[in-house]
Amino acid sequence: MQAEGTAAQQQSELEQALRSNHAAQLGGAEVDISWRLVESGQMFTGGSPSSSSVIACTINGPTTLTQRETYMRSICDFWTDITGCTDHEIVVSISEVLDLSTSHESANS
Amino acid sequence: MPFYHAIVRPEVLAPADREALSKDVTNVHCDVTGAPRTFVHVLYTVDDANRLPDDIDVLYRANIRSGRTTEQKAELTTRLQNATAERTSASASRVAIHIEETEASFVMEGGSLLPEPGSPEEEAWKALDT
Repeated sequence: MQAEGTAAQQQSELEQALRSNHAAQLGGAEVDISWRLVESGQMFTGGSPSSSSVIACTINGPTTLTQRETYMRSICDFWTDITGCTDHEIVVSISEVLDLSTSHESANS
Repeated sequence: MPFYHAIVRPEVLAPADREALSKDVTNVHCDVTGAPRTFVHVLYTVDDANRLPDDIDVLYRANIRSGRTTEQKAELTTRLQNATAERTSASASRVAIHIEETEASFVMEGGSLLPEPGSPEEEAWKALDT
């Protein structure tokens, strides 16, 4: 999920970075990315209008704690670089599936 | 995290009241769990396609950290039902909460992995709001 107003150029850069990160850290499987752009007034954080992005990743498992932390840390790093947001505006989660041939990543806010 | 996805019938909650309900949800979650407020997210989807079950007006898909007790989850459910009934035109019995649990080490927020409930790291994390 990502907040309304995110530029198409940023989305393209984020997709490229998500694919590169996945390939570099977890072996280069194909990555599917879907977006949900959240309009103003639909999401709140701490009871106030939210500017957060939520990146929900479904990947092949099992992974180690170190692998997950490195993978998610990298996403936070390029997300802040590309969008200008802070670490506190990013939620990254991982769901593991066994024998998943394709990685799925969805970004929301 | 937590992440509360509220699916609501169009007529039960005015858009202008979403922020107030999100504060209610945040208050309930933080009261029950001690989590910092800034980690509580609420997303609304209006059920324009009428996909909710006939006996439900508001459905929360609540993704929370694993490790909460049965009592905590029951309290979350009851208090969310009551808070939602007070803020919307839905009765408490027509508010459903489906709790999904995620291990803390599978979520990064604020630049760090979430702490395990009950761990020493959690005490410092809880103090982030103060």
